[in-house]
Amino acid sequence: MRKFEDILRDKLYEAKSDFPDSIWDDIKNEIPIEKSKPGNALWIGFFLFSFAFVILTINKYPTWKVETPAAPSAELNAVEYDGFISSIHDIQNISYNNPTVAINVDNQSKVNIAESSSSSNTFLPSEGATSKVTILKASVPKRTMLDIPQVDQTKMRNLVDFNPLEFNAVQPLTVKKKRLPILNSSKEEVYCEIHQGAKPEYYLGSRHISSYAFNSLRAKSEGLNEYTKSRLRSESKKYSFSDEINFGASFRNGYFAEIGVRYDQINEKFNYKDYNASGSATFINNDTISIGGNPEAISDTIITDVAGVREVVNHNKFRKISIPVSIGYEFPLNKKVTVAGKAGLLVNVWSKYEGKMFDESGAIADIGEIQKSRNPFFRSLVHSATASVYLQYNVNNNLQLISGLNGYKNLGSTSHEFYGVEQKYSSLGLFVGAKYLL
Amino acid sequence: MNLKTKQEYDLVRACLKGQEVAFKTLFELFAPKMMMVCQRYAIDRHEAEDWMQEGFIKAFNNLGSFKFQGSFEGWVRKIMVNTALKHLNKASRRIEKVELDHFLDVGLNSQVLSNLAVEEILKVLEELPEGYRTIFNLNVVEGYNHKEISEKLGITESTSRSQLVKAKRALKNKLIKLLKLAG
Repeated sequence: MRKFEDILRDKLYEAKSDFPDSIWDDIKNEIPIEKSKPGNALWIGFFLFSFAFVILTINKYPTWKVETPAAPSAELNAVEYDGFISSIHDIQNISYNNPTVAINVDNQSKVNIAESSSSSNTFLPSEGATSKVTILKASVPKRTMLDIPQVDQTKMRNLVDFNPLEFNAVQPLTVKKKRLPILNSSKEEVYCEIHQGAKPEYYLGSRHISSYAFNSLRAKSEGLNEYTKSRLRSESKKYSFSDEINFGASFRNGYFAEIGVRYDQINEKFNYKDYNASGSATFINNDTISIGGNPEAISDTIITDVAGVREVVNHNKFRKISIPVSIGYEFPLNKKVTVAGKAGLLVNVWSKYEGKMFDESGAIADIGEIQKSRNPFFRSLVHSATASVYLQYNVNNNLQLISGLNGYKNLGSTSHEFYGVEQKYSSLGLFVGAKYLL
Repeated sequence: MNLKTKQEYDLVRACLKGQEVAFKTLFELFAPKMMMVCQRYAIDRHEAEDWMQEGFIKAFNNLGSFKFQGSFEGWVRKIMVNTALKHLNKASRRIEKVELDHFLDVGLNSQVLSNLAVEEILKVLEELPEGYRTIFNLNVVEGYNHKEISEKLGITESTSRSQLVKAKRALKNKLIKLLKLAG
């Protein structure tokens, strides 16, 4: 038989009783309910802005394909000849009975007399003769993409004395304006949540960062000042992106710590002049000659190598993998939104630099092909400092969306120690991400 | 950690972020039981409502001291009991000595007792002298031992023991009377 107090305890302990609704109304006025909501609008606005930024900057430059070998995409809009263009008309099928042959160039000029040697059976226009030379197109190896537009003789005549007897294949070519290169990269960050529990709360987080990167170049000696300036002039905007996953622990006092893995990629665009550009061009000489009183049209085609200066646009890629270690602090703006900030170190564990770069002499080097130990433009494993300020939005008890500002700066030079130019990257960007409480 | 406890903890965390809906959910979850706790110590419903309101305000404003160890219900229940005892002590409603002679030590059919409604038991409890009711609640229902009761009420352990015996006998007598009237 059960004791009567046991029976009463069982009945009373779990017993419930009704109560007036007004009690809650009185209670809620006395407890710390978060009433303000400005943080929500702030967060939503910032998140949308960051999201749009990230989307718009994704793959702004080709990111996965290094285009350096094919980089030159020069345009030779004007051609200046400071040498001579020569051509040889080998008219094999004409028999010259008269040793003197008059040549009418375009039926206009009659000053050109060519002499032929019956013995050689070869027609040679006399020195000083004019002819219409048309560069119809450039036949350029695909990778160099040299584009030589059609140029007519009149333009060339104004530039040089045309001597069809001497063909100088080397023609300095006028190139357009120049520009210079760039490099960049970006950083990471974190999130958190304030928990009042005695034990820390653990979470996993990830984020995507899109950044503008900046390049700091410093010549170690005065002799390299001009080169450094030309490097800076060649740079266009640098875009970078970073993807990161983190494991973190947040403590009841608002502090948190994180560690993770991060991939950074800086996409650079350079515009500069290649003074050793080369390609091949096709010259077609259309003439009308008179042989024995009978006009004869002749057309000679000459394909030859040409060299000159051309504008080069190439994309470089700087990639690295780091271990981000950071600490931060967070505090709630309201029941949904939390403000957080963190700072830390990106411990670089792998890096690679691919692309092309011109050196002090103007020669263009393929960075990827130079051994690391002798590569002036690249030094692996450069650590960085990073910091983030961001907002977190509690979607539910486990999921948070995050959005904010992130920046980082190289702590050391990414160019080699022996190189006379010190280079450091930094970046500033926006990110979006999520955090899941375990 | 079972699901119920995890859900309670999640609610507490949400409360710590100031979420009104979490506060209200916790309140609606535990208020019916806490109302009954307060009723067992109070003289009437009105007094019980005041104590419960005060207890919840105290609990919600001190969620930071909840250690996330054990049941949240147990933590809130302790706050309710302490709130009730504070009022009982403040009003100098001390444990009054009630003579044992007034009550007979009688037997009670447990089967019949099991059929009693909670409201009927509560009504009988309310008729007990306040001191008996308090010690009976603390020991039998809440599970405090006599040492703990003596500290809470500022009495000796022997007083707590003797008062508990008397409380039980008084309660039995009143229940028997109730059953006779009913039957």
